Amino acid sequence: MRFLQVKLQNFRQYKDLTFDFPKNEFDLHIIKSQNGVGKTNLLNSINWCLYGDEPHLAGSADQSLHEDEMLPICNIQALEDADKAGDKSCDVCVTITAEADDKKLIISRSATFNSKVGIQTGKDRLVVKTFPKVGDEIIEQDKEAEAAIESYVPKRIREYFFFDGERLLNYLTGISDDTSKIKDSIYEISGVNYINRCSSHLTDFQNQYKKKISELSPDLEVKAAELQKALDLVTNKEREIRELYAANTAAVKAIEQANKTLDGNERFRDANIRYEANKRQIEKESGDLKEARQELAKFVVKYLPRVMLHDINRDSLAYIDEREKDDTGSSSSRIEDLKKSIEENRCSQCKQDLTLKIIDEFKKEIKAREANPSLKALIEIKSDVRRSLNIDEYDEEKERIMDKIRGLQDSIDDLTDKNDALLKEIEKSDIVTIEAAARSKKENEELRDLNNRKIGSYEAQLKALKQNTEVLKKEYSEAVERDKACGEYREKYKLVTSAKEIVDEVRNTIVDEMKHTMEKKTMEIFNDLLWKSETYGRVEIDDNFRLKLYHKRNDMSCLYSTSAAEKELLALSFTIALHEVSGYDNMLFIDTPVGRVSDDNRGNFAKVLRDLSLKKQLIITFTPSEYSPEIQEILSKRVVASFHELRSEASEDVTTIKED
Amino acid sequence: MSDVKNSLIEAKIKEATANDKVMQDFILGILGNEYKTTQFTKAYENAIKNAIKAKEGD
Repeated sequence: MRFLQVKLQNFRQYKDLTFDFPKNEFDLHIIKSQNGVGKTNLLNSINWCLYGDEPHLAGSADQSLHEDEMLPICNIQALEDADKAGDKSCDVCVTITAEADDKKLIISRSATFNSKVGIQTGKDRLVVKTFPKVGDEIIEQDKEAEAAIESYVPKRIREYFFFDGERLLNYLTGISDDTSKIKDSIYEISGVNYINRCSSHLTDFQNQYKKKISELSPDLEVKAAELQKALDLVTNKEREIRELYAANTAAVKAIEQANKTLDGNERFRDANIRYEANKRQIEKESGDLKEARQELAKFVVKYLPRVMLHDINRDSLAYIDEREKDDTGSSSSRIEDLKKSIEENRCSQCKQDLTLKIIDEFKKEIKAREANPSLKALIEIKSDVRRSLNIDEYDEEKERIMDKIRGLQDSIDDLTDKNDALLKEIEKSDIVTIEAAARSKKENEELRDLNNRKIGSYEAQLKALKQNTEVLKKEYSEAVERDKACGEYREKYKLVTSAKEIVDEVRNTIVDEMKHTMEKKTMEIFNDLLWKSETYGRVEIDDNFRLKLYHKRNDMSCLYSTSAAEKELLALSFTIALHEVSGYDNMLFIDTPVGRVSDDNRGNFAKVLRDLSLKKQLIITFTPSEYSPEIQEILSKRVVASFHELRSEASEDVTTIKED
Repeated sequence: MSDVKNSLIEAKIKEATANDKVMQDFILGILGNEYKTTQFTKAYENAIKNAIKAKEGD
């Protein structure tokens, strides 16, 4: 898109002004004015016309916060004139005439203000008239008109068409707080945001189908495994029962066989049983007899010396008693009494004081008594002798043991006789075979009974297992039905998953290619425009689409070592590259492009703008000081397609174009 | 140009789905929806339904 004309009516200090932008060899248009006369408001008027707002109001990052402190966009003098003339309202209108894709466009936004109070009444009115080369004009209003504008100069990326150099530079170098804006803008321009939204919607559907599949058929495999396990249990139980029945058949046969062997031979078997029982009894009683004889031997050892020494012991006890009787008191107690009397010097018997003579006699007696120990020894063994005299239990105990021995011996003899007789009876038959048959019968009967009990228990278990299997079969069938029902969702899930993979892959490819193209294009343009062609080697765009500039000689990042002019030139190169890559190859409106460029580089920058205007429409604003003779020499009359010098009228409320 | 309104994206999608016409139509269809509608759910559901039907017809 290139602008043919911008017409302003009652917009801020512009009461009625038209800027025409005719093209010659160059497409460079200069607007020169002092600060405060209206350069930036011209930029605002374009934004207001296209998007309904003014992003370049000084110091107003958020306009809504300062609305009370801002003048209405309607020209103050126009409001006063209307009020004086008795008109209740006054209209503001900005009209942009442009050409794009071989079509002429007239974009017009107007608003009505109350002339007395300067407040807007009603909404803005936006109209886009399109004049195709062939066919009738198309008139679009409001939402349709906004959509038409979006298709040429999208609002989200307007900074790349209508900008001041400083703001753009800040975006590119990451100084701006809103560092994601470039990335968002580029994604928007390139359509990557559409792909991302598409991918996100596909993810939503993926999750939705996944959930549905999970709800409908969460357990088909689990149910199949459960059913198989139950079927296996039934098979195993049936096999176990069959084996028990087979074992019982064999047991019954063995019992029948044993019965045949035992039939008519029970007599022999009973005899054998009795014989074996007697044999065991004889063995037991022989053991008891042996113990009884040992007991008798111990008894004899214990009592024999007492019996044999009974008379001697009786005489010994009588002798000791006699000796004790002869002794005047207990010899030992007598010695104790004597010693005590000597010690107390007083007789313990008569309580008379002792004379030396008596003490001597006492001492002699003590000596005599202590020299005769045999009585003492006799007293010590007296209790043992008395105990040895006790043989009252002997006969009774001896008789008891002897009775026991005799009883056992008689029993053993009796059993032996009986067994001799039984043996004679048994020897007439084949007792080994009979016993084996009897054992076999007993074992097999036990086995049969045990198996029958097991069969009963197993059949009850089998019944329960079969019932469980029926339940699981039903559940499995239902799961199969559900699985069939969610087959549709599986197909859908598969489709959206494949589509998402493709969409994501395309997105990644496009982003990579676009970054690469942008890097290449930016560097090409930068090198083309830069007056120092041998300084910078390459441009890199990182994942957040911030620019990095590398020195040609050492490939070191050097963006912050460049001059303001070079930075601005890099920003310009990026912008132009973006125009080319995105397909939105529009005009550029640059507010005071050399304001931040040092005097040394202003000439170079002017040359860049001149050369760029051969390919693209440039509308540039200058202050008188920026528009120096050096720049005028470069941007000569041949180069400048249109030149507008603005001035304020005496009231300073109205800006007009200064006539040459 | 299709509803995708971006020849580069359209070309890339076509390249990635050269062997699957149903998938190609499906993706271009849903991408086109992103440009022109806010009724995504309904549009996507229809596109998915149509693609499944087309796949069954293959």
